[in-house]
Amino acid sequence: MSLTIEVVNQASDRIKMYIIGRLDTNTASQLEATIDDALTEQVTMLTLDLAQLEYISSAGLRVLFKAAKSLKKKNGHFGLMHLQPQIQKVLDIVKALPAVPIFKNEQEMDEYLDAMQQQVVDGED
Amino acid sequence: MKMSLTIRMVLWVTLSVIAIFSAINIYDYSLTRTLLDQQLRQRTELEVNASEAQLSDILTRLQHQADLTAALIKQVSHTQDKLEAMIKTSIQQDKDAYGMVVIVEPTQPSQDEAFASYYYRSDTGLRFTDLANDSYDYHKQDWYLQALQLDRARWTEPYFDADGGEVLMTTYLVPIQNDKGLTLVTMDLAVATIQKILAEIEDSQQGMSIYAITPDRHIISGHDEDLMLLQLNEVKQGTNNVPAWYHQLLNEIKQRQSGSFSEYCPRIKQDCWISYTPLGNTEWTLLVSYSQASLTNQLIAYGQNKLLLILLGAALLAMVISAITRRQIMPLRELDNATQAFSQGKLDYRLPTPPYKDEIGSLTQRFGQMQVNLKEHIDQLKHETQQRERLNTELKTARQIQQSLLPVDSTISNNEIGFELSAYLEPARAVGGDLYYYTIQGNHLLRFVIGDVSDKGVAAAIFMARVVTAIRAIAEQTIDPAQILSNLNHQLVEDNEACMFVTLLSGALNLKTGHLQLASAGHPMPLLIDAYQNLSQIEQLNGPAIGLYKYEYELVNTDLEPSTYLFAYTDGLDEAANGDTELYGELRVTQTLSNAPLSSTTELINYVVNDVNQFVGDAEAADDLTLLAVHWSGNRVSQVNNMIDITSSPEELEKINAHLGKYISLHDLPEHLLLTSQLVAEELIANTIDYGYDGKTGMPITLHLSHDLTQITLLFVDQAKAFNPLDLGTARLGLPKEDEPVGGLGVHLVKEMSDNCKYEYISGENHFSLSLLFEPSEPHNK
Repeated sequence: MSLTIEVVNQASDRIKMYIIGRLDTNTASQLEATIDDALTEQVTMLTLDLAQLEYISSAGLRVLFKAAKSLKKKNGHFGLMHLQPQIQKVLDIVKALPAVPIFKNEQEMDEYLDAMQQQVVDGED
Repeated sequence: MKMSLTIRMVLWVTLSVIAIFSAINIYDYSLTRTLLDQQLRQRTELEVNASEAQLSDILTRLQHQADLTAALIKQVSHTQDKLEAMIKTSIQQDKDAYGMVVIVEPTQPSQDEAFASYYYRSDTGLRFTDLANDSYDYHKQDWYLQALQLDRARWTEPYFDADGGEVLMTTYLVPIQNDKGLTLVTMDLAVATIQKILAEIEDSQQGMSIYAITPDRHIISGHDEDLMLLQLNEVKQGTNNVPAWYHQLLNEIKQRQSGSFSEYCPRIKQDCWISYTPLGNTEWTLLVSYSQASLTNQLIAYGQNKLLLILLGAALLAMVISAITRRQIMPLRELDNATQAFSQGKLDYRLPTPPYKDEIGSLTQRFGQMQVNLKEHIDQLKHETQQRERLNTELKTARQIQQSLLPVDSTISNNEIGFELSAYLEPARAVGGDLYYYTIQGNHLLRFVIGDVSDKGVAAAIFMARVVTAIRAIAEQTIDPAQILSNLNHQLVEDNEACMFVTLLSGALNLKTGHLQLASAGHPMPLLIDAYQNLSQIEQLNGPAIGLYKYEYELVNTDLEPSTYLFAYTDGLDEAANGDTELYGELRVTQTLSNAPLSSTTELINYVVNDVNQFVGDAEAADDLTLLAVHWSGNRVSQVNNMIDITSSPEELEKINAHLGKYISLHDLPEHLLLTSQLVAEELIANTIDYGYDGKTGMPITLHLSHDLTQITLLFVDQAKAFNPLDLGTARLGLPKEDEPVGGLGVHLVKEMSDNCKYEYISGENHFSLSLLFEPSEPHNK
């Protein structure tokens, strides 16, 4: 079982990736490379849809952590969507959940992003 | 053909009568014979006496006449004329006298003229002859010469008097010799006269013969010419079969004695009575013989007549008896006809009315009573039979329904999975309380139940139906054999007014691993027969029978070796009893199983059933019999290797993942174990490659897998330098800082997701083992 990644540019600053398959030692580098390519200067929002992610190991977690960190560095946002129970369990164990917003659906994500933008606007005010 | 009563009565009575009368007749014959014999003797003697009187009368009279004449001549001198007149008168007066002679021969011829005068009878009357004439010359005659010799009067022997009397005669000679000269008086008696008298007395038809014997013992017979004038002595000489008594008889006659005796007479070839007596003062003798044959003949004739009469009487008696019997047994015949009709099922046949109140009447009456009772009884029987048939039909239907509660196939097998199951259930009656049930789940789990409801028959069958239905329902909810029992018990305890209970054995066999779970509610654990036909028992952990009180049943776990037979049974097997109430017993069960052919479960069951049937024989089955045999070949185990070797390369993880998938699937472990086990394997192997082998590829790593009901154990073995992943420390959780190494995260995951993590360095090898726990129930039940 390999890994398939579908990258959707939702806007100039927003990217959504569908992660399909297994994210393990052998496939983590594939996702890492894809994210590196996708995260250009203007991208401030990366959302990973894990609805079809079957498996994740520590190697996969590291890629997620790395992506979260690199977005945080430039005050961007990293989010996860549609976590399957087995994925949720692994994330629970490494207690990564509080730092990463998890969205159940697109609407939640939009609301979260709107709130973030409002913060930025308020901050600029 | 059987003889009718009438014929037998007639036959027996008639035969009896004939026999009795024949016996009487024979006795009577001997009596009569003795009596007649005596009479014969008396009669013979009487005849002799009578005949003697008659003959001696004649002889004496004639003698007397001659003597008288002679005396007269002697006393007085008579002239010739006077003497001739005297003898003429004498003859005329006595008709028996044939002739008379007077001879006078004086010594002195001158004195008196000599003369010889003879008067005799002829056809023409009295005739006179002068015997002194030349033609006769009496001086030369025998009788004259004889007379000269005599010194007294005497009869001559019979002779024929030629030129004289011209007949056969005997003559009485009275000679008188004195000084005057010779005077001779003779009296002739014709032998014919004697013969005539004898013939008159004789009765030849009665077998009586009478003989006169002359002084010199010549025989004069009235009828027998052969014997006529025969000397008695000559008889003796003439025949060579003279009887012994003859000589005696001669002596007696010679001595002039009388007597009588009974002897065999050769002449007439018969027994006869002989009587003899002297004839008065004459020298004659009379002899009478009486043939007994004629008497016997008469007796026989008499007996024959009597026999004829008896037979005639018997025939008449037979007819009479026949008539009486027929009349008397007529009611009996009618009764016989009636009973025959009864025996052919004509129960409404009208009984005859007996004419008398005798035994037959009583019999008929009782028979009538019996007929009524029989009809009632048959009606009752019909009614009961109908009821029983209805009940039988109901029971038959009940049996079909009960059969339908059992699994459709009593034998199932699957070569691919490697198991076979056979069951046998035979109720002691139409329906029974034994039950079994099995189901195959997901092609890898065989669940079975065998049970025995208390009691037998309909009550047990209804309870059995309830139990089976409940088990089917509960089996849908849980696969835990103990849980099935607990739940079922819970249901049945609730409202068990009848206090029925059931012993149950519940089992689940993992067809991939041979892992067997059992739970028992008062039921004996099954026996196991291994590939070498060694028997072994399973730990007897029994709870109470189901339906008694609330109870949580416990599991017994065991692992079957490949090619193992499992044999479960109800007490209908070990408690089967033969005619001597001897029990089959557990010892026989184990012996039979040790000898049974292990070619298939069907064969095994058939062998046990045959053996127990032979043991029971004709005795009635005491209890329901249920047998359940399972054979697990363990074929699939060999397909799943418990260990896998890889080399130290991340790409090799694919093999690990695939192997784990296969192992979990084949052993029917919960699916969620797959991702967890793959995760911990990946983390540990990645660590080994990165830190143990320092990223060096091609190095050996081995994963050993094992599991039990609640956990799967993974053992990782590698030959890298001693390296304990647990020493990597606790990972910092949460989103790591940018410069922070992410190492330790994997180990953290491993520690969190598994139990019993354990590291050992043994003989230059790193051994890291861990367990993943799971619930021993259905995956979706998690």
